[in-house]
Amino acid sequence: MAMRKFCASFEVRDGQEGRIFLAYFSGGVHPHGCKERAASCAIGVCPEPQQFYLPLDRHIGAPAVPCVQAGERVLRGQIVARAAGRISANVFAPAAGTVRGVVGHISPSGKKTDHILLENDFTDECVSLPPLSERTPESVLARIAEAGIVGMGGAGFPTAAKLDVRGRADVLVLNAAECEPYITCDDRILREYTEEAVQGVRLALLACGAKRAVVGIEKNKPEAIAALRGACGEEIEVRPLRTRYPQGAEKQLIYACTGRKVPEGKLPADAGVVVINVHTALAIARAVERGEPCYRRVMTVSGGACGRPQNLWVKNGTLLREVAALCEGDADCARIVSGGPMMGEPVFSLKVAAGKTTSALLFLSEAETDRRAVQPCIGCGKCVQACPMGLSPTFIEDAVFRKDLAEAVRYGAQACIGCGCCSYVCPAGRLLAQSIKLAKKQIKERGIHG
Amino acid sequence: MAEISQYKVAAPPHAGSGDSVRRTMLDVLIALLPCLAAGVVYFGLYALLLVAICTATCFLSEQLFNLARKKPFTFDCSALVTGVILGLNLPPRAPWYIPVIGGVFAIVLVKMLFGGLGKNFANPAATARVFLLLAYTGTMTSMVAADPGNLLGTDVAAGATYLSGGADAFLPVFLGKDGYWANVLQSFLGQTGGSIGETCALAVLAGFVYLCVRRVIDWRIPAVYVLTAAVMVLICYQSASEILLQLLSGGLLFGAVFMATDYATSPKWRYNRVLYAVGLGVLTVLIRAFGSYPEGVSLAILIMNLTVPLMDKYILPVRFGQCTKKGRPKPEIMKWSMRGLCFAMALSLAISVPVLAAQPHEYQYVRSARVSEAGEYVVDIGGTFLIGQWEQERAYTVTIDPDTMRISDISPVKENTMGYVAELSMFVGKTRSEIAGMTDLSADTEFSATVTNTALKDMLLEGFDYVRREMGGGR
Repeated sequence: MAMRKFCASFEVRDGQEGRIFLAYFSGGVHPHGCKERAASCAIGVCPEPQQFYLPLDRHIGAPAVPCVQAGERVLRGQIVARAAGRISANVFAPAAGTVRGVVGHISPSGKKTDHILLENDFTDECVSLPPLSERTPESVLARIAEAGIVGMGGAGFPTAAKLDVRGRADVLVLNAAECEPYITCDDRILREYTEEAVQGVRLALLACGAKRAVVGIEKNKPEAIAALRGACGEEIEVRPLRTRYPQGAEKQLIYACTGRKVPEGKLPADAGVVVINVHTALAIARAVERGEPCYRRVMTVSGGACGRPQNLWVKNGTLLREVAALCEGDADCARIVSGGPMMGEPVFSLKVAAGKTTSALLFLSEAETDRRAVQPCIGCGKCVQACPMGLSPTFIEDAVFRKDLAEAVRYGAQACIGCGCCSYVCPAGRLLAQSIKLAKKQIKERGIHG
Repeated sequence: MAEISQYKVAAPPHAGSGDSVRRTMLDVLIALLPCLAAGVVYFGLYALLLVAICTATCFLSEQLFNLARKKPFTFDCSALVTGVILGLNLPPRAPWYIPVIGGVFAIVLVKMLFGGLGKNFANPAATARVFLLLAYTGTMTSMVAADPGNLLGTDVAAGATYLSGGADAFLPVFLGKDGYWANVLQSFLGQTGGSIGETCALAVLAGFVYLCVRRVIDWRIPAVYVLTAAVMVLICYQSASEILLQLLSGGLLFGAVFMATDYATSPKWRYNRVLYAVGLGVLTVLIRAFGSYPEGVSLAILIMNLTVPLMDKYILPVRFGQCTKKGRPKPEIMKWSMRGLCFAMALSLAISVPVLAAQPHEYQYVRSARVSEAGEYVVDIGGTFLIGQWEQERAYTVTIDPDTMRISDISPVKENTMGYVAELSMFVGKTRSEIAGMTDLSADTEFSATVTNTALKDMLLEGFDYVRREMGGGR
């Protein structure tokens, strides 16, 4: 009897409560969560600034094209830039005010790109899209596109294009893993806006034509799991997952939630799966139910050098320094990061504007950052064990330094997901993730295939 | 672009595991401390001096090499690790120049000439040990007996290891016990001849646990190495009792934990490590059983080190979602074959050890045995021995008291008329362990002889074993 139970725990079965699901990716790391400080704070609201710098390119695809003139008055929720093609996204005014024109402003990458400068008049007059009465896959998809929703986990792929899989997917996975340390915005959303998030999942199910949905969520968020269990019906399964980075990486999450492996070089839809983020689901629900377009998001502000860690509704176009001032972030801290400490981009200036994909702003103290001198590789192989994709980072680095790209391909450089586990574990402090990124870039440029 | 250089920018990931090379090496040094302590307890302070000389030589030769090559000095503690490991690999009474030569060889020839830390092609300590064994065979194989507490190391007798001297290496009575399990316990605690740090299995295991908890080494290499060696001992020696003695003797455990797991010279992928460890186990036992050296660990490690680059280059992990050319998921052949191999080895051990251990023992001297009317065990023992240059037959009837398990009577059945009779009174009234511990078997009377006494001792021991095992005596 005990033996049968033991064997059964290894089986990959769907839709049953209480079984142990063991389709976990191998490798990965377990960084300190550091989520306690921000996770206990309810979502607040960041006060509106005097000026908004609305970025036009915070999504994958073509930058949006401005459709307002300098001097024109716009209302909150009014469209100010239209999507340029299918892989692009509309941009909306986050507040009522006067458009000052299209200006060049620094973006997170360091380049100056076009931003719409909006002068806030604090009247808060607003317009919204009409609530969607007739709900068909087409109308929901159209609304998602119209509301300018992009993947809000960080990548920023236009959600309408992602959900438009034309019946190829049978499972929708909601990515609530939030495996990056410090970030708690998805956790708070699931706790505070449970119904709306679940409604967003139902609408996404409708839009993509999948039959059932799975919520993949790490076990370190028991309150969110309890809330979800209460709100989810038959067609949505809540699946607590092992707390391990990168559990929220798309391919690893799909594997843990469905037991399917996305073939190398293919999209999740090829494995019959669509993945959306918690915040994206919330945005879908609000766009459909309330007609509210996507112009704000919840951002986690945290880190050891942050005086008041919290989760905030931040409108697009708010400069990060406004957020930093509110949360008492120490601008002289060791490093400021936009996003999580594992994959987030470093912030070189707080003049950068917040966008649809800015999920976190971290002020890391000296002790929290990794600033060791790079030493020669001692060959410990920890990077090979840690790689969730089964690559050999140290050999890829070696091959890149020798300019032997064919060898780098043989070790799997092109399959890297950039999670940074290899750099994280390296006792010699080598920048393995950077080297593989370089290899990937060069392989793409020269068109080398494995 | 003034605004761009406002904050410190670095590539992600921004967090680190907090591991560093020096911390890793310090962990290894900490794990080596129990072995060093055991070595000092058993072999005296001179052993500590040897390890110190070796460590200092390794450190200095690395810095001198850096100086000569105009490179910065290195303080990553890796030379100290090599020094301590090599020092613990030396015989306890090696002359002072042995660690010096070994240390320079390990650091300069094996490590620094190939590019320093992480670039050496073979484990420096193992290579240096093999070199010293070839160059100073006599010195490197002359061991002394362990003498706990004799820190100054005066009057230490020469001693053999189990691998070179067989069962004679064990004390007849250890901690008041005798027989097989006493030998095993003695090996486990390390009170035998051998290199300074490798005799005490307990200390090695303590280091292993520490390294595993600190995640410094991969547990797979020592575990699979020992497992494979056990299976190979079973195959090569056809004996279940040999397994523990072989595993606990010589440098097997020490090599498995501290030398085979060396970072630069072990494979990087976990299933390659399993393959590597299987190779180590096979080679070690083959060298021990059929080679001309009693000890095979260093040589096996050296040979397997040479195959590591090949494994790392051609046996790659199957990537997540990797497909074959036909578009099917690529089968994880290496992973499942290695898992299957380990499972099969464990299974074969689990089956064959009880089977072999339950096999009827063969008795050389016991002819018949019965329980007398008084309840005493009566055993007829006899055999043919070379006594006084003749093959002579000796036979006795031994009576053993069942309560005390002492010999109550020995009566000769067949003794030679030509003299050389056994001194029976020496043995009467004694237990098995007392007889096993008897060392002075010289003859007292005119007609007795040491050879006959020794022959009688062997026969009596077997008689006791027979009573214990087959007749349930002494329970």
